[in-house]
Amino acid sequence: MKDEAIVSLLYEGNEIGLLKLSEKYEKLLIHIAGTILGSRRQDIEECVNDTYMKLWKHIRNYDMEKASLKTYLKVIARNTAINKLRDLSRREGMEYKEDFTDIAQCFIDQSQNVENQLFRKEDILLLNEVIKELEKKDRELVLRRYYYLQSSKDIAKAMRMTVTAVDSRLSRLRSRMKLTFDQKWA
Amino acid sequence: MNEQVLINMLSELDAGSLNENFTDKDVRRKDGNIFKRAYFYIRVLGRKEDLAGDSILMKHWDEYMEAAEEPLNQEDNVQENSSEWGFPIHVFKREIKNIVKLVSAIIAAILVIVGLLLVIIKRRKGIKVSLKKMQISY
Repeated sequence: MKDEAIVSLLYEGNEIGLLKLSEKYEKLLIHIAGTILGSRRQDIEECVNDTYMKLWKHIRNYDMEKASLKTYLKVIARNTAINKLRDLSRREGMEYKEDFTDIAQCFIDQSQNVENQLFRKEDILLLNEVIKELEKKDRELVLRRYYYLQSSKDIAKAMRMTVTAVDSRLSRLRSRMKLTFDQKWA
Repeated sequence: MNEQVLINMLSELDAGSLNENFTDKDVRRKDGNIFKRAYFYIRVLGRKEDLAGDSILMKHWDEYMEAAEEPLNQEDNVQENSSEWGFPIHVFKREIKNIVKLVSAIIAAILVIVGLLLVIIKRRKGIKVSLKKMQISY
């Protein structure tokens, strides 16, 4: 079923829309939540369920011209998983750290010391610009690592690179992004 | 740029600026090559209802129905989508599509098998004829 048809069913409050949505995108959502939440099946399930629920309740906020349904779902799933990761780190501390990827562990460590950060809208728009200006491969690397919290090993496998090459390229990219960000800000 | 700051800032990006297709590729790669996917697709067609029952959505179905009650009461538009026979016509169409797909797959498989059999029979006949010719030449 096409996305437009699914959206119109959800818009009408027709539960068949939900069934079709899950048929089409459940694997993708489990993959995204699974990358961030590691081997925690229960949490992955909750995250996917929350994603459906958010879309089901707030379908009227969805603007099809801005992004496809798939992209919209990916964003909801990713942000729900990140919030869950943050909650887990506060609730369970370091107890289950080995369940997660290296970058997720790093995120947990730093989240414990820092309160929820608020960013200025201008900063977000600037970051958006900086990411858009990156080359396709570099953009993929940054998004895989810092958006989907994939491990260096998984990125290396998917992009046919070595783990060392992934890490060093990411480090260079981060410095370059910071420089561009500062230059644009100035 | 601190890694954690970057992760948090990326959370604020809007959906419009995130057009990528590598996650879909990752999922496809996980599922295996095209033959493996085709095999599973045919299997899934046969037991689609069982699989739907296993999905995360079905496990929490009651929660969605509870959440749906409010908007449904506010806007009484459920009937709009139903046909005069009392069921949503698009679901019926979808079922027909699946059946057509299944039947055409079966017909294609039968044609391939018949083709292979014909080739084998022809070859065997060919061998027999050549053996007879050899006998005549003796």
